[in-house]
Amino acid sequence: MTRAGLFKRPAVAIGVVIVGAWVLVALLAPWIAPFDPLRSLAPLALPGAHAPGGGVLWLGGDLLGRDILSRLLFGARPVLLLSTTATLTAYLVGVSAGLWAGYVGGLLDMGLSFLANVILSFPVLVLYIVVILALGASPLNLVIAVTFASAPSVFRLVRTLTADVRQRDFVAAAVIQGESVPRILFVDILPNAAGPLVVDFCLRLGYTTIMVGVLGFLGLGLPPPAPDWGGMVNEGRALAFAFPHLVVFPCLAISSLVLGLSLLADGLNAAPQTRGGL
Amino acid sequence: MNPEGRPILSISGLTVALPPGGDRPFAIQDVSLALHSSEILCLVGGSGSGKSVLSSALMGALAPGLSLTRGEIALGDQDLSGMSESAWLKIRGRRIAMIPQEPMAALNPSMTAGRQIEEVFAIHSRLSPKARRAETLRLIAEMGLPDPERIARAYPHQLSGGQCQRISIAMALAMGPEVLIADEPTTALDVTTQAQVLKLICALRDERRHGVLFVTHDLGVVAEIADRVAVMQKGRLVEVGAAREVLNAPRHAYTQALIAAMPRFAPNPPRPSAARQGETCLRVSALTKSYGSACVLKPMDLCLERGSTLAIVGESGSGKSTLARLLVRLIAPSGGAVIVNGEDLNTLGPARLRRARRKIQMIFQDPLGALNPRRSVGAAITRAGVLAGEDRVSARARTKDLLERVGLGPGAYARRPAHFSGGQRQRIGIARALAMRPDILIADESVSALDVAVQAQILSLLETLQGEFGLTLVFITHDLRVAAKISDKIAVMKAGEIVEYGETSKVLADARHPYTRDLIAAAPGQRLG
Repeated sequence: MTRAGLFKRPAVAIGVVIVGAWVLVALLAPWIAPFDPLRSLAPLALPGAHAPGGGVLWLGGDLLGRDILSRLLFGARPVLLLSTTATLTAYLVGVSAGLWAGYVGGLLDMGLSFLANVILSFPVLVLYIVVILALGASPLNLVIAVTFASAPSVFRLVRTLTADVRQRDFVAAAVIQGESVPRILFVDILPNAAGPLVVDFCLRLGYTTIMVGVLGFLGLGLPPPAPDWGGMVNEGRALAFAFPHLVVFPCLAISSLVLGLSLLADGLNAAPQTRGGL
Repeated sequence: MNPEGRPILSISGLTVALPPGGDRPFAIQDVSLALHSSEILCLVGGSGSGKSVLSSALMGALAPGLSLTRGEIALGDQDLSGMSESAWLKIRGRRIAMIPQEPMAALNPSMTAGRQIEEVFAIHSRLSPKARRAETLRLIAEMGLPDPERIARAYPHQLSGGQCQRISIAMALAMGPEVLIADEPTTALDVTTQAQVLKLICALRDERRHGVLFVTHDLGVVAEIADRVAVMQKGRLVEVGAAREVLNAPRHAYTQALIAAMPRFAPNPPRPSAARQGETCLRVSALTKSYGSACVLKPMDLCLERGSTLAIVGESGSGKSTLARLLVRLIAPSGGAVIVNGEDLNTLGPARLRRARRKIQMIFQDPLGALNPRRSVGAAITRAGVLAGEDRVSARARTKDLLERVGLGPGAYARRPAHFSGGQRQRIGIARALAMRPDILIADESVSALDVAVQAQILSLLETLQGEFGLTLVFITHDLRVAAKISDKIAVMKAGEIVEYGETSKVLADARHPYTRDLIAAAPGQRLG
C-alpha cells in the first residue's frame, strides 16, 4: 500500500481528522475561543445560556462561571503538549537504551532488562502517583513521571526489534566494513525497526493522554486555575448528576482525542511494514 | 514412457492473468502440455518464468489474485478448469498430489510423521484406524526409510531434511495418485541427499506408473531423471521434447543459453596469470570454534596465495559458514589465528582490527538481506568508500565507476535495493565490497540463491574483477560444480573438518577421501556432455 492508499482507509482518515482538528484547536485557541478561559461569567450556566456581557456559553459555565467551551479549547494545549513531550522523552530514553542493550547484549542487556522489569512490575498508575507525590505537581514532573513509567516498555520493544534486525546480513556487512556502533544503531538498525515503533508511538500517545487526564482528575495534574481536561472532570464531579455538562464535555474531549490516536495507530499497524518498499 | 498413448493429464491453451500493474500481463500464457503415465516430465525455467504458477494451477490452488483466464486442464476424461472447490477436494491429494519444496516447512511440527500420513488416509479413505496405521508403516518402508516404527513416532524436527522429504512423498503417494507434481523437491536438500531422493522418485515411478511433473531450475537434475523436458520463459512454453534431444540439441535460444550457463563438472584449466607464486595473502592456523562442548570447527590450517581462488565445499552443517564468519572475525574463534597481510585479526585492538578488516570483505548469500532496505544503493556503496578512507566526493565518483564495473548503469545510484532483481542485488553487494579496496573477498554461498544464467554471469564477473583488482577469493559453496568452475584449490569440509584439500583438477580427477567421492558421484548433470 502506498502512503496515499493509507489515507484512503476510512478508519485512518477519521483518526487523522480528529487528531488534526485537536491540533488546530490547540494552535488557534486564543483566536477561536469565545471567552477568556479564566474569566468568571455565569456560574453553573446551562449549555446555550447567554453570558451577562453578551455572547453565548454554548457548552455552559462551570462552578466558577467560566466558559466550558473556552476552557476545553485552551485545555487542548497542555494535553497535547504534555502527552507529546512526555511520550517523546520516554522514547528518547527507551530507544537509546533498547538499541544499546539489543545490540551489545550480555551483561548490559541483562542489567537494563532487569531494571525495566522491576519498574514494569508496578501498576502504571501507582508509579505516576508515587513520582508526582515525591516531586510535586508541575508540567516538568508530569513528563518525568510518564517517562519513568513508559520508557521501560519502549525499551523492551526496541530491544527485541534490535536483537532481531541485528542478525541480518546488512548489519554484518556494516561491521565488516568497520562502521561505528552509533551509526550501525541509528542508520542500519533503527530505520528498519521503525514500523512497529511508529504504531506503538501513536498508541502510547493515546495512553499518555488518558494518564494526563487521570492525573488531572486526581488533582495531580496542572495546578489550578489552568484549564486542564482531567481537572475539569474532577471539579465538576460533585455536581455531575445535577449538572452533567460539567463532566460530559471534558470527558468527550479526552475520549475523542484518544480515539483519534488509536484509529491512527490501527491504520499504521494494518499498513504492511516497510521492509523494502515505500 | 509411452509418449504415444493417451495422456493422463493434458493442458491446452492455459492462460493465467496477472493483476494489472505487473511486469507482464500474464503469469502463464497459452501453455499446452501433456503428461503420460509412468513418465517424468521436467518443467524448467528461471525464477519468474511461471513454472510455479503452472504447478499450482494444476493443483487448483492458484494464489489469491490469480485466476484461470483461458484454457483447459483435463485429467483423464474429466475437465478440471472451472471446477468448484468442493469438487477439487476429491481430486487434490487423491488423483493429483504434490511434493513441496521445503519438506521441513511443509510438515506440521507438532504432529508425528506417522500421524501426518495417517491423516491423509483419514481424509480420503474409509480405512479403519488400524488399517491406516498398517498402511502408513508400509508406505514409510516403501520410501526406503529404515525402522518405520521409529520414524512414524518421530516429530519432523527429529528427522533429517531427506527423511522429511521422504515423509512428504509418502503423504503425496498415500492415495496412489495418477499425477505427482514435484515443485523443486530437492532444491533445499544437500547434494548427496538430493541424489538419493531423485533415485527414490524414479524408482517409485517405475513401480507405481504415475506421471510426474517435476518442476526445477537445475538442468543437472533434469539430466538425471527426465524423460521429457518442457522449457518455460516469461510465462510461455518455448521448447518441449525428449530429454536427450532438448539437452543435447536445444533448438530455442533460451534453452541454449540455459544449457550453456549450467555449471559443468569440468575443472578450469589452471590459470597462469592469477596466482602470484609464493606471496601469502591469507593464512589460517589452528583456527577452531566451539560452542560449549560442541565443536563446530576443528583446528584448521589454510594458506592462500595472493590472487588465487580457494573453494570451500561442504553440505549443511559442515561448518563452512562458521568458517566464513571467523575469517572476517564476525565471531571470535575459540583458538587459532587468522592472518591477513601478516596481521593476526584476533590479537588486534578495535581500531587496528577495523583497519585490517577493510582488506578482507564478504559477499553474502542472500543479496537482499545483505543490503539495508532503507538506504539507496549509491549511499551504501559511497559509505563503504568513506570508511575505507576516501573523502565523500571521490567516494561518490568511485561508486559510479564501480556500479558501471559490475554491470549496473549510473541510474542504479539513487534506487533502493528492493527495485533490483536478485542478480543485480548481488552485483551491488560485490560493488560495495570492492569499494573497501579489499585484498580478499569471502563469498559465502553468494550464487546459490540465483538462477543458473545469472549465476554464470556473477561467476564470470567475479573472475573478471579478480584479475582486474588482484583479488584473493575464498568461495564457499555447497555446489561442487560451481566450485570446480571457479577455483584453483578446493577444500572439502565435513562435520567441521577439512577432509580433502588440494588443487581443483587433482581433487576432481582423483579424490582420496570417500566423502569427496560421494559428493562427486552425487553431483547432478554428469550425463550431460
